[in-house]
Amino acid sequence: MRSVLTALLAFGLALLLPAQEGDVENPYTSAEDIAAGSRIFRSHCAVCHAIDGSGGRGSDLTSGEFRHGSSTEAIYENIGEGIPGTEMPATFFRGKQLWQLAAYVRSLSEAPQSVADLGVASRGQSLFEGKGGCRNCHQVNGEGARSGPELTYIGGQRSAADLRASLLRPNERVLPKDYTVSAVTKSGQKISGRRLNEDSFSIQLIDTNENLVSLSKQDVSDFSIDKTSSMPAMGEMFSEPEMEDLLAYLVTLQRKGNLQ
Amino acid sequence: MKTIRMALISVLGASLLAAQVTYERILDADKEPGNWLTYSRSYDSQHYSPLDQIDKSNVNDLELKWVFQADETTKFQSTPLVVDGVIYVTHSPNDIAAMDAATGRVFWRYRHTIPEGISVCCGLVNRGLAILGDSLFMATIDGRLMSFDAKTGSIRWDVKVVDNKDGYALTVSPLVVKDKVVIGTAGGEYGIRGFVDAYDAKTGKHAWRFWTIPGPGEPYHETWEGDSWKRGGGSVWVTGSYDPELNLMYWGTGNPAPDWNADVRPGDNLYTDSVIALDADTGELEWHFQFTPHDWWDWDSVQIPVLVDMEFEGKQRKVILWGNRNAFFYVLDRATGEFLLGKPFAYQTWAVGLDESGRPIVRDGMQPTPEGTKVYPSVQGATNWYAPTYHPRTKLFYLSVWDRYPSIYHKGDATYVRGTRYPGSFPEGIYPDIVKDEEIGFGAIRAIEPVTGERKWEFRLTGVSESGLLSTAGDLIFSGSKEGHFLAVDVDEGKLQWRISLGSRMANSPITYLADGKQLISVASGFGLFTFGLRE
Repeated sequence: MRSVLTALLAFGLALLLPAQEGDVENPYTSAEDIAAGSRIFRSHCAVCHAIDGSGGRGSDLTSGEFRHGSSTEAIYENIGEGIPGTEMPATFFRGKQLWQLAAYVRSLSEAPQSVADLGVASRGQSLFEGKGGCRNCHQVNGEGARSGPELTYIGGQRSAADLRASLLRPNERVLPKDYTVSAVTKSGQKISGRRLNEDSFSIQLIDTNENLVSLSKQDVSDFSIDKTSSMPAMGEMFSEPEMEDLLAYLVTLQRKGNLQ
Repeated sequence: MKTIRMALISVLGASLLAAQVTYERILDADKEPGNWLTYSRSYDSQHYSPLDQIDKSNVNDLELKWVFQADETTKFQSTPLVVDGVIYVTHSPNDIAAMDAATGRVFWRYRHTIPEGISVCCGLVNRGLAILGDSLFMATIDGRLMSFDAKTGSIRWDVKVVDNKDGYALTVSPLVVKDKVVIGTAGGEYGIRGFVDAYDAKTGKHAWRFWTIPGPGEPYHETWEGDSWKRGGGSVWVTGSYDPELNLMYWGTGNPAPDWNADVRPGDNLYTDSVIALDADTGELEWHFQFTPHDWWDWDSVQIPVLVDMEFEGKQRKVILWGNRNAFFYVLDRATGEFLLGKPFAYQTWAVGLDESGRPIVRDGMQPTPEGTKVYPSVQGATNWYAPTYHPRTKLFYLSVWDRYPSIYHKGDATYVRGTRYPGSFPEGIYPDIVKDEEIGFGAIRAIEPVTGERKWEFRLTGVSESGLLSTAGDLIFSGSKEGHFLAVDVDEGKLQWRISLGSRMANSPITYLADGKQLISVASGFGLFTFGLRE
């Protein structure tokens, strides 16, 4: 299992500066390397992990934290050797291509973003917590409400352009995990909230009061799923410089500093 | 109760355990409905049981009797065998447990060690065992066919069939016919050349091989160009059926390779995505029917061929009923391969229809492109390998359906490297997730009238299902869902009769049998085998 890495280390990789304590550094992390890794990912990995790495049959690779190891070493080994006891096969890639693939997987959770063209993050944070009222729905580092998606690591998961689009046109792309469910029980109680799960016989949601609710479909007389966003479009609330500041702040919301 | 059981075991059990499972017993499976002697219970693969202790009136009295937990976390696709009070089941990678069918307590276990670096497309799965005499047979992921003493689990013989370094793997539950053990091979995503193989049950000596991709000089070799046939796929990974009167076996074959870049393999690519009818003694091809010529979408025709004798347009026919992954339901004459009927059973966009010979008229613009082409059904198909069922009283065919669920099919590089994945790019949208995917579609159990292809009823699921169906003389259909529900609906109207949440997907097909004279039902969910019976 460790033989591939050991061999590579023997060829001099040990001389590279570690990216984090105890970890090895990936020698192939340029934009070209990530693009090459992306191409391999599309033909060999997307079938299980989805084209954007968000998972499906395979695990979600956008979180940056993996059950079988999150270090560069672990990612490299798991891609090359597979993970025994799971459906993750060995890929037979070696050397450069394997590093490129590892770089691409890493980029899914740590998209390097330039903040040079954006505003001032500290001002953005003030807008987020103050005027914008964003914490009324969103949580960052344990602060804020839970009715909207958590944003603690949003800067590593979405590009600044993507975030801007969501702020200006919230309804353009609403992920199914953010759909709003409205139900009326047979006893007349109205319940609304974000859908967490659904199956043939029941539905689970977090309601507007942040209660976890599980409803049996046979106890519900009316039931609908709203695929629009409950977030207002932010174009009128914020000036363009404020929007830049807000984006600068959101981009800093990452697992660890990967800003350029 | 315990004393009665002990008495039964000492008086009857010993002699029953010593009984041999002859070919005749498998042939006459209906005479002993308390057992489950072959993959689909009987050679016609109707996945129907004559047991009727559990019916609509008492199905709500079902309770959990026992659970067997496989200590491996790969999906549980195996269908058990039940022989005279002993249940035999495999689980990942190629382990076997022999248990008391009444209690799930283990008599013996076999643990298989696979070499490091085994490469398979879809998990280290196994779909089950076959039995003849007192020998069990298992095909292994590392390319072996093995025989075991059914009493002890000791190895009787062990032959190498294929090399995983060439992309081959064996996941199929073998089919015993007469004195032979018949298997096929997986590896359609690795550029293999598929085959069906027969071995002498006593010695493991190789008897014959039928290549699902014809070589130079063989009929239909011209449906391949250049060397593409050498790595053309055509895997066979689900157990076939057998008609003793015609002495023909029927096997479904898998996709051509590479899956999503068909430019490198011009032609119909026979015998991929087909049903092949083979002489059970010689393996010679009697006839074939190809469901999806020159497949661009990975729609293996690896479904279980369901054999039924029925009247069709005023004439008594021996037919095969086939719900194909490509979303069409087919009726074929199984003596000749003649196409009798074909109709979509789920939403599909790839074909305008079928012509008079059953050949699909493919719609323009449905082929994968580098940018991606959206096509219904998805790459998992409108159904897949799990068991459909036929109920002799209702004369209906039932199957698990994935409806209104597409994939975005991409075409890409198709460079072949021995033993590595050879997909020719990839599809988006594999296993829908209710909180992740915008186009999830839905699952359903559907009843189809074979003589018309019309839908009689459906039982709708919110999510899709990978569970096969079991129908019984108790007029129930048992099935599961990816959501983790194990459920029963009635055969006439498809109304829900009973359900329980087992917490994880079902990826095999339920079976039913007798233990101590009482009807039990076993189904795998997650990594365990759950067994239910009536509350006493």
